[in-house]
Formats: sequence, structure tokens, C-alpha cells
Amino acid sequence: MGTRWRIEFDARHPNSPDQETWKVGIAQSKLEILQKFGHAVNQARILLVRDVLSDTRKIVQGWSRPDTDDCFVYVGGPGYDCRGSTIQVPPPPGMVFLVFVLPDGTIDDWNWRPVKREDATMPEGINGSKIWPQT
Amino acid sequence: MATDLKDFLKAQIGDTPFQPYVEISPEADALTFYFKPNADYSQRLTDHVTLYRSIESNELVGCRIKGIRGILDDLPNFLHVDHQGAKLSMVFWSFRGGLDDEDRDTFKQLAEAAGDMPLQMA
Repeated sequence: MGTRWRIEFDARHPNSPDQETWKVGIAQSKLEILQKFGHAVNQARILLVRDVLSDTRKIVQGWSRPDTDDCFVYVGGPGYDCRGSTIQVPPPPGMVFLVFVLPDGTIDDWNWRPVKREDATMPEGINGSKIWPQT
Repeated sequence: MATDLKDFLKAQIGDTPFQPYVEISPEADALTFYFKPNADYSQRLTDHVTLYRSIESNELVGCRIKGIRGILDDLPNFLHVDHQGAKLSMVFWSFRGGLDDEDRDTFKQLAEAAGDMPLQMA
């Protein structure tokens, strides 16, 4: 567990994804809210966050929303979904798992998202710059 | 780390029953609202709004609104409330203009789910 955040991961660095990693993490305050209000699914899915950051398929810069051009989306396809601390089920079909990261490395959100009809590797509603892989 | 994280999450999750909540993140300039605990996926609705829907039933379980700072700053210009007196449903009301009927119904559902929930840090 990290010090800057309560949970910390290594992820491909947006500036040099093939050469470097950087630290990203989930803040204590975020975990406290999820715990306080009993949001078990979102807590259990932190396992998916870990898996997507260690086995990233794509990195996109920009969340396609105002003032988020310097934020990142890590896209992955874990082979399972979590419904609780001990409950794992198959992943929802036709979806990828997204991890939203702020410029300072703070993980802001995570969730499943349907893929685009025209590009099954890209999530719907994410139209930022594909920074990795470049091909 | 793998086992550590699983153990950590098991302890973290515990057996606290779900309660609807609002989370305002100043860093992300975003508001997150969940009113049902169902396993969900995200659906982008507009530049500012993402809906959370149940994977099993597709019903609405929550939403996320970006650019919340501007909305909160604007509320007193239209409604005579300060932030402490503001209700979450007012935020959904502010999005009603310019929507088609289906999206307007979605915001109505969100406002109904919000009820009298106050708009404050969780």
C-alpha cells in the first residue's frame, strides 16, 4: 500500500508507455466514502483497476469533457467482474473496463463501458487522443 | 501485492449495508450520485453527464456530472439558496433544458431518486 494514496499501483507512463511506469493511486477519502455507504461492487472492482493497469490495452488522453484534456483513460479487458469481495462472475459482454486517472496520478473513477460499434477496442464516449499503442 | 490487495479489500468492504450517496470531488470537478447498489456499467449521455446503469436490468442506478463547480456557482443566480440549502435534485433540474423527451425522463428519474438529499460533501 502506498503513502501518497491509500492504494498505489504502477502503470505505464503516458509520456513513454513502453519505457517507463509511474505511480497512480486511490485516495483514502475515496475509499472512506465507498466504505461508509457500503458500495461493495465499486470497492471489489479495485481488483479490476489493478489488472487493467498491469495489463493495459490502450491509453487515451482526454476524457472528452470540458477541462479534462490532460487526464487519462486506461482501457483494459479483465476476464472477470467482481460483485463482492469473494464473488467473481464473467465480464459483461461487449464492454471494456476503464480507469480514469487525473494528471497527478490520482485514480478518479473506474467502470465498465460498452465498446464502439465501429471500433470494438475503443469505449463509447471516449474520443481523446490515443497515445498508446500508437499503431 | 495480489494477496495483500484482496485481503485489504475484504476487510475494507465488510458488511455495511448500501446507502444512497453523493460524492463531490473538487479535484475532478465532478459529482457522483449512486442510489442503488447494483453492479453497473457507464453510459455517456452528454459532455457533462455519464449515467450508471445496472448490468443485469439496465435500470438507472446513478450518475456522474462533470463541471459541477460551475453549476453550483450558478445555482444562487437562479434559485435563492446557498450551497448549504441546495438539494441534489436542483442539479438535475438545471440540465432539463435542451434535452429530448427520453433524456428528460432520465433526469426526472434521477431527481426523483435524489429526493430531498442535500448537496454536500459525503
